[in-house]
Amino acid sequence: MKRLLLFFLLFIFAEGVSASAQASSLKAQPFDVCQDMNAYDPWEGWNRQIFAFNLFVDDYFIKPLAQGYDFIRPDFMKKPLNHFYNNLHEPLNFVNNLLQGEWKRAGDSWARFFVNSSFGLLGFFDVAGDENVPEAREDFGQTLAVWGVDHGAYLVLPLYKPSTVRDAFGEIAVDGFLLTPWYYIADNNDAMGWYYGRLAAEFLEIRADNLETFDNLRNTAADDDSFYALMRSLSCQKRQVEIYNGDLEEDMSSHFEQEFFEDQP
Amino acid sequence: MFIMRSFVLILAFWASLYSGAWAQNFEKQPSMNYIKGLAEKVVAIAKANQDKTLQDDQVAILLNENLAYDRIARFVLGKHWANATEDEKKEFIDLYAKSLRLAYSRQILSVDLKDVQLDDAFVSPRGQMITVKTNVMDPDSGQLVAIDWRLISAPTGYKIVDVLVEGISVASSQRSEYASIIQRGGGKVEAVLAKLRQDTQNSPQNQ
Repeated sequence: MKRLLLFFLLFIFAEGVSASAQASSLKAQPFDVCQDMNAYDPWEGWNRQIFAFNLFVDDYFIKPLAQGYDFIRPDFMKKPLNHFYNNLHEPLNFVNNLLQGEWKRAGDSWARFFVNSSFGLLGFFDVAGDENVPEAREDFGQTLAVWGVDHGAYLVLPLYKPSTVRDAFGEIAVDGFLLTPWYYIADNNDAMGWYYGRLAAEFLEIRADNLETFDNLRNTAADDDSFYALMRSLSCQKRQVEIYNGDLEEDMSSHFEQEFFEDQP
Repeated sequence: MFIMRSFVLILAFWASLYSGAWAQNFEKQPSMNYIKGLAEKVVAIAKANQDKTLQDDQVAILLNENLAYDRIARFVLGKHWANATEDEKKEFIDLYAKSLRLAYSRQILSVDLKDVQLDDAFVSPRGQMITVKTNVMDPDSGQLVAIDWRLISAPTGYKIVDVLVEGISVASSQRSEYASIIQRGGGKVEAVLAKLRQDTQNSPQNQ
């Protein structure tokens, strides 16, 4: 199963990077990436179909489930549960920060994991955050980006957040199976059910936390066709901010200023 | 030698005139005070009225006074602005302004602006815009959310042209959304006008 998934993702990775490279060369400036959506999304037809499928499944299955969960989950548990799931990502943050040469951030991730897992009672309390050790979220998609790998085609997968070929490959195949210690612990203990169960529980937690935000966003768009375009733009911008760890203010401002005043009389 | 020096001085003079034409002489503190004042007005509206319709109306007036609708509308339509007829441009600005008021009046009131933290402000490279950085507490997660405000100068003071939530530009996202609608509508601006007409008529706040 794992080999098959890896093969499938590697295949998409190769195809996606090649499709995008043929469509354009989008490496010039970080925010140029999110301007030309025809080049960014060469598989738009397929992506729109999967997006519609995801909305359908969300409307009739996931959202009602998340609403039910949100109803029974005590409010005081929201933050601890968020901290708990964030803590499970710290080993990945540590490894990916190391791979990116971000030594200080890697140290923060390492410290956070040990402090929060012990003093923070298995990560339910963000003791390290209270002591001003910030979370330094990273994944292998970002690592590939820092290494200079092109984002590849925009990719919408069933029941997965909007992504790109590079990021889906990095986050699903590499982070999810090769780099995360939880996979090896579960595999060695014949407990893969727990591994997938935890992923499903985290997915439900995130959906329940974003019930209102998601509805607001969807209502902002004229209809589901334009909601697709809105989500594509949002995910692209968000990803650029994540890759550059928020150090894009000057570039973004310059880019926006240029475009904004070009269009004005 | 004298001719050479004069030539350099004339060049420098023109260069300073040219850069002066772009620069707007923005200052940090007044722009930060402007955003602080705006947040206080929203808080005051929420406090003064219990009636949600009245609140929405008053926030809509505030948005009218502080958003550069015509300039944002032009930006979000991008390259398609040039192809639109004068009537289409006028209708687009009206519908776009209405859709923004409908979409954001309630959302602005739902954000806890009373403890807005002013972080910093910086002028854009060509000096035509200033970005005020703020942090607002998200009551659900208990975490600070970074909200940045892009301002241009206007005869009456400042006007907002974009808002960034955690680094994501609302105006750029809408530009991308509208470009997609127009493209799927055969390259006609009418496609986005039709969507906006439908959107503003079907809004729950209109019923």
